[in-house]
Amino acid sequence: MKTLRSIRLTTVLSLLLAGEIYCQPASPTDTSGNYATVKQTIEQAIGWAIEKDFEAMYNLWADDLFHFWLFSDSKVIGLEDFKKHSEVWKDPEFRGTSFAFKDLRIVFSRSGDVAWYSCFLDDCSTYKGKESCLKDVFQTGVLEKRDGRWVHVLMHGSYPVDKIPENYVRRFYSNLFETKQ
Amino acid sequence: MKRFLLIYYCFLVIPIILASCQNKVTEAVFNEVEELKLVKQSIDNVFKWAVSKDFDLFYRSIANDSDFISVTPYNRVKFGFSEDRKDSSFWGSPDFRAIRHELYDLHIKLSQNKDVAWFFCYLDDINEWKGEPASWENARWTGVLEKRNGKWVVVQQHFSFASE
Repeated sequence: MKTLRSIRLTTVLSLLLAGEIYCQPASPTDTSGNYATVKQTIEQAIGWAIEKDFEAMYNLWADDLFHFWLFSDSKVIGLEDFKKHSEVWKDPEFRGTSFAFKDLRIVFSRSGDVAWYSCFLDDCSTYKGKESCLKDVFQTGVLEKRDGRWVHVLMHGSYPVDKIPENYVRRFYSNLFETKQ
Repeated sequence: MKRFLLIYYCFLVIPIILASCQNKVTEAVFNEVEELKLVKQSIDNVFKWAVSKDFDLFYRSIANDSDFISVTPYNRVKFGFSEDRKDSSFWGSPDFRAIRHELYDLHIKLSQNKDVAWFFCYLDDINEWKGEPASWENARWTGVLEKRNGKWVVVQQHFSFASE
């Protein structure tokens, strides 16, 4: 009788304790080793351009990705659309040279399978031997762990309208500057 | 006796625990359409509060923590809920009047676990400051929401205008 009561008590306590342990969402602060992988996935989404391994780059993105970049024609929905968008980077005269993510802040969801981030990006490349850099682009994004792999599902890069770098303006509106001179 | 306990745990206690965890996910799958409506409502509330200056509605629609990030189209990023709250005096001023807002081309995605959502859209936010237009038109808006204590809250958002 005493044994049965003890089993009952142990069962109730075990259920409560196990339920607390197994059903509780993970802490938003990542301790599972995902941070390094997510950081690398974010960095390689820009850094791939140095090696120009397109297949490796496409693997960093989800099939249903969304992308806004600096320009009005940079809206991309889905990986197939992104592949078309990336055709221009296949030009052999183009290559990434260096990049830096400043103040990168990654936050994990409570369930641990989604991460979002913000940072300031410096992205340098060379085209026909001439190097140019986009400095301090404000970049945000979202990644999800799908089939054990972290992929970008959303990326948004922009310049503040009141602080667009002069070299950027010159790059796209050089005629305007030439006329003034 | 030990054998009995082992069998008891393996075939009764552990399956019950696993089943109860599984149910949480299954329930969410059934309500996906409703869940998307709730997400959309929370996104909309980020601007809806302004017409009636319902600050409580606004503060309920964004995450009340230091990780909250709001990127404005200007040279300003607000890190943390308290930073966003600092703008209350501006919005609360009688000189500021929200007229209407409209979201278009809104796309929302739910995470596989259905506890996170992200979105993108274009936004017209029509306001006045001292009777003069103070609006955002055709702003690009992306963001992330997380379901916390049964409510969807925006945890990160990014507004911008295309540079060319």
